[in-house]
Amino acid sequence: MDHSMNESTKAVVTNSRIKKWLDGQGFHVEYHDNAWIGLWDTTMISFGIDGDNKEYLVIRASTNHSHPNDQRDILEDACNAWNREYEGPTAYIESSDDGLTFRTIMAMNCCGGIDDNQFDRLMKFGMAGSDSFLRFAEGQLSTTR
Amino acid sequence: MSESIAQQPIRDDALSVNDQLMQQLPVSLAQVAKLLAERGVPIFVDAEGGSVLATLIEGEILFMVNENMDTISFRGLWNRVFSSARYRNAADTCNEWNAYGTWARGYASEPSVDENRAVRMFCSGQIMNDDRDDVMGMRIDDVLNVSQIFFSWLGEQYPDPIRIPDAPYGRKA
Repeated sequence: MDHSMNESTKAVVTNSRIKKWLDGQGFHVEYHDNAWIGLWDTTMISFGIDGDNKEYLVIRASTNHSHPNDQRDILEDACNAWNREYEGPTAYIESSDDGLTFRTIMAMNCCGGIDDNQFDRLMKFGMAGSDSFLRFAEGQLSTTR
Repeated sequence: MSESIAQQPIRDDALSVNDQLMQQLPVSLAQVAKLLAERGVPIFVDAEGGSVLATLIEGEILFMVNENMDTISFRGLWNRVFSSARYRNAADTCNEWNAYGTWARGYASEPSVDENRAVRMFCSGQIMNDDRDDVMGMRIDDVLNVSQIFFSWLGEQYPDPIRIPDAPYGRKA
């Protein structure tokens, strides 16, 4: 007997629900540091749960391409322009020994549960938004070089 | 002579201006307005039904329907500004906020030194619609909470000079 939720049932977001969705899309991911992590081309995306009551679905993305530290202002402006003009994941830059890296984060409060349709759109929105930002950022950088 | 407005009988079923405005709102936005009002937050409803503005002490939050994603978008505006010449400080501060990983993003408006345009600071994000008032109430509380934290945090990073006794704009004893 099929015990899967029907579309109108609202259920909390759990790691197993995330994994089930990712498997359904045919994505290969691994569980590390409390999140499901996968690699899409050069973009690493993680999916996890956060918050005191585990109420946030959190989708983070980053690229393995770093930029020199002296480009900080340009990179920061690209992030600020994205955050100002577009909905979707939040963009920011992170500093490390290798230089500066673009990162995105999208967190959504799912307290009380969300239905499968909302969950599906949220996951796709998070993934597509991350990819859109990284393309946007590359476009911004190419016009300033 | 025509009957003055004051002499016209008042119909019991006549709607107040507020009720009429609420009727213009999409259901999900009317729910947001109701929940905000229940929390004692002063609100203003756009007469065309497009948005609800909530006013707080350190800023304001505009709520709008985002039909594509079945969500309510919100945009909080800090009530203080940066000069355009200090845009870099504003952008740095937003990046620091965003890197911290809070669920609402911070961003600065576009600067223009030529026009001496002030740079405004925003926090924005989305919450999923839900027809259950208790659930939507928790999400609204989260918006109010994160927006007020953002505004307060900005105030800590850049204290208002007029509130500092020895600052140039402070009142001399």
